[in-house]
Amino acid sequence: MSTIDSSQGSTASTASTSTISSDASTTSTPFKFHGIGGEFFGIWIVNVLLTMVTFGIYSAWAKVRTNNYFYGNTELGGDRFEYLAKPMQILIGRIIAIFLLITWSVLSSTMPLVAVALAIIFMLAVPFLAVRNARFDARMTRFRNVRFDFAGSYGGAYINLLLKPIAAYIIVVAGGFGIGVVTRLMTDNPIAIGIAITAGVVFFFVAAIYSYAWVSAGMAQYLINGYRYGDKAFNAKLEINQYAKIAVTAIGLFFGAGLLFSVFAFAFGMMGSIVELIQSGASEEAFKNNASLIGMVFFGYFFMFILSMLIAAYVRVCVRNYVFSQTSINDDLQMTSTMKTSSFLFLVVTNLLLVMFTFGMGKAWADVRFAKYMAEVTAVEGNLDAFTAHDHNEQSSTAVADEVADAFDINIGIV
Amino acid sequence: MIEQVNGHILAPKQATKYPATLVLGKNGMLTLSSDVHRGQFQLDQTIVTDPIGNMARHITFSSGHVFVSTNPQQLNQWLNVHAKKSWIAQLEKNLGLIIIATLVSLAALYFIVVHGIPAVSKSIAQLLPDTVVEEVGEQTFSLVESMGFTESQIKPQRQVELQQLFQQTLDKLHQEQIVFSIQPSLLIYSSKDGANAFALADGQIILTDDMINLAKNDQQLEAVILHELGHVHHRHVLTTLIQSSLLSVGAALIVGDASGISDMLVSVTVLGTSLTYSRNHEREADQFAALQLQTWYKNTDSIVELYQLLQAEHNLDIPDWASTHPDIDERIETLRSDSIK
Repeated sequence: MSTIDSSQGSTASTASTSTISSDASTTSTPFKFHGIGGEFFGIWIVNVLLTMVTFGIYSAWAKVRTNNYFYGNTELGGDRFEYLAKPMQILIGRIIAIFLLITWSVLSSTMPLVAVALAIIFMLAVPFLAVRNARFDARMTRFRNVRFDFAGSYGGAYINLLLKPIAAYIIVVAGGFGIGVVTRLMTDNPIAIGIAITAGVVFFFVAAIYSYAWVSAGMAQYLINGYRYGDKAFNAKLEINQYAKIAVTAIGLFFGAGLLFSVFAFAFGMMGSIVELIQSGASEEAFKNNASLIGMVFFGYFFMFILSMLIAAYVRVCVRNYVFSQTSINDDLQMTSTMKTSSFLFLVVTNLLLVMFTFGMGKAWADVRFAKYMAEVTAVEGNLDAFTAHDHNEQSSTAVADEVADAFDINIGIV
Repeated sequence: MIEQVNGHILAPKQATKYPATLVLGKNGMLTLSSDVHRGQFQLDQTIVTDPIGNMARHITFSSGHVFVSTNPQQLNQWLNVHAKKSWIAQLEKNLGLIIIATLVSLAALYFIVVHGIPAVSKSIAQLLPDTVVEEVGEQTFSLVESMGFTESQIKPQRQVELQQLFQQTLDKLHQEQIVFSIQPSLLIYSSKDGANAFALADGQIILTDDMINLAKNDQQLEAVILHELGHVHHRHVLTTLIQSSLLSVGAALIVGDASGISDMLVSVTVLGTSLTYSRNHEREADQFAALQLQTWYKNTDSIVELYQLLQAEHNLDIPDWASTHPDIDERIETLRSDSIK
């Protein structure tokens, strides 16, 4: 009999059966996505049409079919993922969610004070909803007959998703301004105030970077450690310093590129324009008539747009690669992510253009391209076939709260 | 025809796989052989994954064992013949339906952007209680104060006259059964940016000194006030707020990716569409003013004259599509034709 893995075309080929494996550890099994843009377009457009015709009711079925398509076309080691949620579950969740939203908007527009109270209640509910949301999504995902689960505690959610971000915000803002204000109260010496303001700015940046790292690492670590594959736990230990390093590089890139742009801008004519502007009395009319200066402003805006996209892509790639490199399942399997900023940025930009120039119709192809790319850059290291897990027994089909939480779709993006 | 497919079987609730073969019989009979589970089964006693596109399907036996084929196409083909058809999967492959759905979706998108969003925003804006309107007005007012508007240099005597003119205009509107739920008021400011007039959400109308000096007579100023009252009457400020939030949410739903990388390009698209809406609002306010002037004076000359004065002052060449206001020639032309009617 042929080996199970013969169809994979991957380097992974452990011994024929599952039970024993002598050569474990170093094999890498890549994810593969088998979906095709044209095929998914048919599914997607029918979803859109039926959702419109049924005034949104079909959207629950549409979600299930879409997820079925993406999960079912994602292959790892010869097996496909499965999406188990039933349309009715999702529909009920959505109806409740819409009912709550309408109640909310009616209450808040008639009684502004109630709106504030509701906003606070919602903010307090976010960690709870996020946990239920993660649990629902995890339990509806199955691989090799074994479901995933999310077992993160509510306490952990409140600490990592609410308290830490608030604390970080207070530290950064109050600290940065505080240094300046306190000095101003203590002395009138302009030099001392100058130093204090500089210190305040420096503190602001350092605190912002470290707070970002502290909050992001905490959130990601909490979420990952909450995930289970059957009875096997995911583990990750994330270092704040690594996040800080990524943030510092991103800020460095931002200022470096900005500086470079200014140098070029001055070299190519902006200096001349400014001199001209000053000679003509720097009136508003003169500014408006100065074509090269206006061009520079437009170009600067465009440049900032490209730059921020580049940096967002860079951060996302670095964070994902790092987080995956730290994530293992029960110490048997190791996740890996090998994204590259250039290829990811190319994907995002081309997808965006694809969607825009087809007035949204290209979304099906964009989604498939995205899934294909994400699968290509993701792998599991270790002996997947020797890895055994048993499905947990919790029933989740009865938990309406999970479905409602899922309808609000509070996903915490960590990678 | 009897076929055999290779694959593996997964034990119930366990991520362990065992090699298996499945013989696909003519009459939907399946013969499974593996170390952990074997036997003959009828296809309708098993659970088969829903067909979606060409996705690999697998078979769950009543014992909970799942058969997964190494050659999905072969198994799928057999299942397509023997398993129950799914009408939705057939629809999703129907080229005619796909083309119709695409055209309908594009038409719906066009209709929603051009008519749906403005209409919905307008009715929401009309429904919102006055407390919200006042709140938004106060918010924008504090913005206005920080935008470089300073105390008016117009003589107090003239300011009193203008307030009277404003009150008279309101009274005349009142006679026409046009009432405002929140009483509008007139504010006069000096601004570096030249002749300007605008309305806030709560009905406060701001005229700049330059605008007052630009107008040759009070009738022209009355025309400007009417135009701004048109904005107030139609609750344009609120409508704009609602429109842009609806647009942003909609665009994010279509284009958005979780990373937020495409957010900026989305906001540029939203801005472009908002400008079109804004031009429509200007036309609506012009229409409001024209209608009143036509009723009171049997012509719209005063507003046409004022726009000509504005045109002579500002010769900035902003392309039409990038402007919040329609082309002034077009507006003058429309107002003139209103006058003939």
